[in-house]
Amino acid sequence: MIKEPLLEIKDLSVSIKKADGNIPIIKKVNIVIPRGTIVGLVGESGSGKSMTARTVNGILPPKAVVTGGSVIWHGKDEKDKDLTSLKERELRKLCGRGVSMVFQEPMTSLNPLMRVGDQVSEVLLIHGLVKNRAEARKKVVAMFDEVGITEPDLRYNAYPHQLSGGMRQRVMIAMAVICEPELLIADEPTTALDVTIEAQILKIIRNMCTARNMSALFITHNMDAVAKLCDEVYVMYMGRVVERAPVKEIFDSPAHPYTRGLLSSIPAIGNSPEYLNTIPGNIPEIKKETKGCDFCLRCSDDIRKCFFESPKEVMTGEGHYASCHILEDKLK
Amino acid sequence: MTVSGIIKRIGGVFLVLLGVMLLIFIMLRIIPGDPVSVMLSEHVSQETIDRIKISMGLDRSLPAQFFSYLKGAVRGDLGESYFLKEPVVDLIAEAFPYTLKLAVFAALIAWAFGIISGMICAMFNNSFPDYLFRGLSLFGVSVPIFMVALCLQYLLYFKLSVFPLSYDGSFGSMVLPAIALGWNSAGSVARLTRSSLMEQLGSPYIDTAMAKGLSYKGAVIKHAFRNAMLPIVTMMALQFSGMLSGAVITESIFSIPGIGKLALTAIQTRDMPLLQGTVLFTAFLIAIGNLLADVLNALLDPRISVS
Ligand SMILES: Nc1ncnc2c1ncn2[C@@H]1O[C@H](COP(=O)(O)OP(=O)(O)OP(=O)(O)O)[C@@H](O)[C@H]1O
Ligand SMILES: [Mg+2]
Repeated sequence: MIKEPLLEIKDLSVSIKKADGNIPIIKKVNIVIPRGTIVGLVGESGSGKSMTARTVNGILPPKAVVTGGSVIWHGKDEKDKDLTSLKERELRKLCGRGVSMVFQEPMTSLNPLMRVGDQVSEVLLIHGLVKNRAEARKKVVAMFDEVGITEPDLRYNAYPHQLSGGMRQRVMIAMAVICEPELLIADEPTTALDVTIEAQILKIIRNMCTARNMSALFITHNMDAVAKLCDEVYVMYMGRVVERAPVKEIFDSPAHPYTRGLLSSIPAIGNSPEYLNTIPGNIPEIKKETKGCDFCLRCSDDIRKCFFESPKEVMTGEGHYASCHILEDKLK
Repeated sequence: MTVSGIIKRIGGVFLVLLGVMLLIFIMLRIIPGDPVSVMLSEHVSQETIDRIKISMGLDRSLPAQFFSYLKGAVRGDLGESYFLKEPVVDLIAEAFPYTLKLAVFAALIAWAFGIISGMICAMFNNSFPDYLFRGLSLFGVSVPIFMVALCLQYLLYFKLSVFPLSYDGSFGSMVLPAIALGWNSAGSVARLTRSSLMEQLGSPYIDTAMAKGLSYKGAVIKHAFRNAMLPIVTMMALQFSGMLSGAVITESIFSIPGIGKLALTAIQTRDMPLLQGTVLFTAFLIAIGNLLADVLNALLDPRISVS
C-alpha cells in the first residue's frame, strides 16, 4: 500500500558559511513523510537531524544556507509548494498551522516571562483561529486537559519555572497541536526527561497522531523510542541518510554497518557493562566535501572501494534501502 | 512579591541612612580645620569663638551632638546652614526641582538613544550599523562628563550658537547639561542592551516563537525584548538615582542651582550642616533607586520575589 506523501525532502543540501568556504552539513538528503505516518530520524549527535528538520520550517541558524534540493509540501490547502523557496511571510503562515515543532529543551523553549497558557493561546491568535482571548483560553484549557495536564485551568496561569520538565513538554505539545497541524516535528522531545515521563510523552504523541490523522517526524537518539512510536525510520550519518526502512525491518535486519552498530549499542538486560557494544571511534569532524564513504574509517569490514567512491543506495528488502558498497557487492 | 518583603526593604533603607549619617558625622569631625574659624575672619578672639561654638552646640560631647542631630532629622529638621543662614531642608527643597528636571531630561535622552542604538547593534550584528553604534557607545562610556560638557559648550555655543552657554531657566538651556549628564549612561545602556538582546536572540524560545508562526521581528518584539529589558531596567533605576545625586560636575559647569551645586557650596564654605544634609539626601536617593530597581525587577520577572 502506497500512502499519499505529505512532505518530500528531495536532495536537500545545507552548508554552514565559514570564512574559509562552505562546510556541507546536510548532503543530498531524501526523506518522504506520508500522511498519517510517524517517521523516525535517528543518528549520532551532530549527524544533521535538527538541521534537516529546521529546514522544513525555515528556522535555520543565520550561518546555514540551503545549497540545493527542495522541500515539497503537499498540504490540504497548498499543493506542491517548495518550502525552501517560499517567501518568509508565507512560510510563517504555514508554521504553527500546517507544520509545528516541539523542541528538546522544555525549559528554555518557553518564554520565562509569559504565562504558559498565554504562550499557547498566542498560536491561535497569530493564525486568527479564535475571535478573542477568552475563546482562546477555553480552547487551551481543553487542550491542556487532553495532553494530561492536571488542573488545566489553574496551570494556564503558571509560569514555566513553576512547572516540571514533563509538564513543560506537555505544554509544548499542546502548543504544537492546538491548531491541528498536518505535520508535527518533534526534535528529541524526551531527551531531557526521565524514563517514566518519556513513556507518557511518547504515548501522548502517538495518541495525538492517531486521533488527528497527523503525520510526525520524530527525531531521537533512542532506538527504544523508535520501536515504540515510529512506522518508518531514517538513519542519518554525517549529513547523509545511510539507511531507510519500515520500523520492523530496521530491528529485524539492519543492513548498514552503522545501523547495526547503533542497535548493538543498546544494552540488553543481563549483559554486564563490560560487554556494552559501542561503535569504535568518534564522528569525524565535518570538513570540505570528501571522497568515499563517510563511515569507512569506523567500519569493521571496509573494502578498497569504500575509500574512493560514495556508495549508492541499494534495496535490501521491501521498502528497505541502504547506502553501502559491501551490501552492493553482496547483492550482485 | 509580598507586602512584608517591601516593608522589610524599606526598613533596610532606613538602616542604610542611619549608617550614612553616622559615617558622615564622624568624617566631618575628623577632618582638620575648625568650621567656626573658617566662618569668621582671622582676627577674632578665642572668647568669641567659644561663644559661637556654644551657641551652635559644638561644645557638647560627640554622642550628644549626634543624637540631637538624629532627633532633628527624624522630625525633618537637618539644622541651619552656617553660611546661607537658612534651614538645610528648605535649601534642599529649593534646589531639588532643578536637579530633578535635569535628571529626567538627561535620562530620557540617554535611554532613548542607548536602547535604540543597542537594539540596532543586536539586530544587525557585525554589520556596518553595529560597528558604528558600538564605536559611539564606547565613546559614550569612556569620555568623562567635564570633557563632554566643555566640547558641547565649545561646539554648540561658541561655534554654532544653537544653545545658551549656561542655565538661564529656559528649556533650551537645559539641553546641553542634559546631554552631558546622560552621555555616559547612554553609552552603558547601549552596550548592555546590545549584549542582553543578543543573548536573548539566541534563546530557544525565539525558535519556538518562529515555529508558532511569528516573524523574526515579531519574535524579537513580543518575546526577546521584554526578557532583554530585565537587566537594563535595573541599570536604568540605578543610573537615574545616580543622576539625581551625582550631577555636581554638570551643575557647576552649567551653573544650575541644583543639589550638586549646593553640595559644592557646602564643601567650599565648610558648611557642616549643609554638607551633612546634602550627603544624607543623596544617600537617600541612591537607596531608593536600589529599592526601586529590585521592585521593578520583581514586577517584571515572575521568577524573582523580594525577600
Ligand atoms: N548554529 C550553528 N552554527 C554552526 N554549525 C552548526 C550550528 N548548529 C549546528 N551546527 C553543525 O551542524 C551539524 C549538524 O548539527 P545538528 O544540530 O543538525 O545535529 P543533530 O543530529 O541534531 O545532533 P544532536 O543529536 O546533538 O541534536 C553539526 O556538525 C554541527 O556542528
Ligand atoms: Mg539536534
